[in-house]
Amino acid sequence: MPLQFFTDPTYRENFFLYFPQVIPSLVIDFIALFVLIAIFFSGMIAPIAGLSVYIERRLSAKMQSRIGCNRLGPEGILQILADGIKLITKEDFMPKGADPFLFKIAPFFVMVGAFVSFAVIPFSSLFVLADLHVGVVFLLALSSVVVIGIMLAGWSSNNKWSILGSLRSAAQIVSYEIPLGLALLIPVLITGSMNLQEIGAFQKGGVNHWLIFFAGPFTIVAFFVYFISAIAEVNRTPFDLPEAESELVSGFHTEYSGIRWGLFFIGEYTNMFLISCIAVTIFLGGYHKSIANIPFVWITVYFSFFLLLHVLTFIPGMCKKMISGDSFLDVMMKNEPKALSRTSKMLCALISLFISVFLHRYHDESALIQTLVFISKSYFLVLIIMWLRWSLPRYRIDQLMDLCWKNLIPLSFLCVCGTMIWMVIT
Amino acid sequence: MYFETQYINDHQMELNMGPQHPSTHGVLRFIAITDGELIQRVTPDVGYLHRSIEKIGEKVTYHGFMPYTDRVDYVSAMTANHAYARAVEKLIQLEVPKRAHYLRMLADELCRMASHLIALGTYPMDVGAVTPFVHALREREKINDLLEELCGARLTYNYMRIGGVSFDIPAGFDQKVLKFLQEFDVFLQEFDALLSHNTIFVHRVANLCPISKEEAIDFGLVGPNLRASGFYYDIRKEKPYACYEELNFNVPIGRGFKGVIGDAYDRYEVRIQELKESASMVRQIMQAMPEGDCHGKAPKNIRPPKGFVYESVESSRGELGFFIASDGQPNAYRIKVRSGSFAAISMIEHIAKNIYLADLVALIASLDLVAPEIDR
Repeated sequence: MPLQFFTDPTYRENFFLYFPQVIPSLVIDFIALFVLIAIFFSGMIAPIAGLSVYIERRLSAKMQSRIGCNRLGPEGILQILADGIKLITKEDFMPKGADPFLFKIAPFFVMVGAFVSFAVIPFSSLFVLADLHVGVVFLLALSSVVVIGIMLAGWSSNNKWSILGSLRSAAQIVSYEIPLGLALLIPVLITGSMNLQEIGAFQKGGVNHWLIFFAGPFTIVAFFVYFISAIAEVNRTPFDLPEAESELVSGFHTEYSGIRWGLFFIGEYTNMFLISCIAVTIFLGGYHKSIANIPFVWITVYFSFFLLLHVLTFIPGMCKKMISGDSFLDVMMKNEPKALSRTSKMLCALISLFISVFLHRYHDESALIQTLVFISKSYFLVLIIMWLRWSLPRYRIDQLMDLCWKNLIPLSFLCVCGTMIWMVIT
Repeated sequence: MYFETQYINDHQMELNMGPQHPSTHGVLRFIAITDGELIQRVTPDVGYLHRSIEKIGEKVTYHGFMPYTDRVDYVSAMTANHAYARAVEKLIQLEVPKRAHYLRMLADELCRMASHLIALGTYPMDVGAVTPFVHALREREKINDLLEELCGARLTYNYMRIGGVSFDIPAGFDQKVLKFLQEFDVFLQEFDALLSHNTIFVHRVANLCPISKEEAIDFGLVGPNLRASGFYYDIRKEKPYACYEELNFNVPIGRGFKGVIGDAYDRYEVRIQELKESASMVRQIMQAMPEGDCHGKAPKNIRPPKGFVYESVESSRGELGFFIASDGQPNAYRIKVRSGSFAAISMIEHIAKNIYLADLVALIASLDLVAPEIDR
């Protein structure tokens, strides 16, 4: 059983006792794991990242009164393939005076750090690559691998703008790891486990079992602390200082082109999906659909998804209207003739109808349903991250640090203490 | 160019921003001495866009120089046309028909709106928000459409002539302008909602690099930058040209809207309010447009008497003036252009001290520098 190491806890405990004897088995295990990871990533994560790129391009186009890519394939969906081919066939350029080894290896750190984290994400109760007992710590550790890649890229490029970008990134990611870690500590406190599978299983049974609603205001605030810190961790607007285009040209990847730049790019979008996955696993009920099996309820959910985006725009400091008199809701749902064609609107309606009927049919949670629920929840958060990117300006470096050290860290400590007190009292 | 590298110590770095950089608004170069991200001294290096426009003015006839004035400030070409036309008209003492004055004011104000839209659009883009820029440019496209109907060009208009303008307004133009102005009011509300009260934007630019009234006067700052410092000065009010004294409009000045007087946010807010004023002025002009001829009666070959003349108009970036020295020949002896951006860029070295690199970008955007106007 090559995967016994990852599936059987007793085997794993005995494993270290009889370490010398099982080395051949260990090698087989790891080869099997790598093959699995390779299939998993090429088959699932990479298309998801590519799809995010496409969605972001179309979404930003709608917000900006543009059309976006709509030429290649139906509604331009094949544009991502064309972009990939272009990036691969471009010249692999390296500036004079760069450190060749570090320059070439840097993008892999970013991509690997993003991709390997998916090993512990439970897409369903059965579908998790490595059911680690220290899943939360594993995620935190891997999020630090990304910063190594960014530092190497900035240092090896022999460019002042790159080094400024990578130094910003180092300061930012290291600082924001503290509130992020503290926010992730709260679910660990509640469930008593660092295993993401168990944290997910803990939230079975409906919205009121989600960890975001576990300890009143404290877990809700913890979720927002996590989400803000996570956006800062993956360098998305309004925290995109490391690659601030208008200030640092392109920040740490100024000198990169071709597929090496593409790896940074894929890494960014994978990271975006990853933080959404973690948020869903830990706070938003994981792969459980958490809603009663009535089609009407599901249709309501799909409408409230758009409604929520509409309501969120009234949060102070955010934009109220996104496009020529239309709110986000109008853009998504109503008549923006060039932005959303009738076919795609029909398609959206059909898909949501199909999903609601489909979810209604299957009372018991099969793995496929769970995976679908998980991915759609994650994509909801990805859409929010994209929406923030295209409507907010960028923080300055000192304001960024103030936000972290003066606001988020005290807030996250408060949440941890509050949750503990809440757990003792209730 | 004189470099100050010899003053750099171990804690400092010389950072070369430009000539090719995403946020230098043209070809512009800044040499910054920084300590990490903190700028200790920044020196602008101008001259990358020098096209010898003033020298060309000495070689071509007075009529022939008009297209070149478009290129002085291509974001606000109408006002440059207007300033040059006024200078030559004063030199040869030519009367301009009233309808031509009104058409010039119409073109000026539409062009000012287009120019301010670029300024207000690139400002948030330099601060990191891309969407307001696209919205602003969308509105500017509509103005470009209007001006294209008026004069046939979208950027370098070459609309005004010595003694008048080249074309009268086409049929149905006033309805199109009014329709645009209605849409424009909605756009301004949106833009306010999207950006003006955005917490991050206000934190970024409020209290940033304030310019006091005295400093602004010392450095010869003009236009919206000067008014943002709280000094009431507008050539349209002080020395009314064309028919500006017949229009009813306010001159917005900086009042410390979100921070201190004269900070980067004031420079933003003053431009927003000028957009509203210009929109109302366009409405008034369309209502009060007099009948008559709009073409001037300038001679084909202008041979002005010997003498000097200086005439200026309120351009989008402040006072834009033409000095012409004539020696009686069909071409000028000397032409000198006084532009607002040149004064503004000389200000940067004085105020940009101990600010972050990101602030320098916001400061450049807030001063609304246009590189061709600096170099000419």
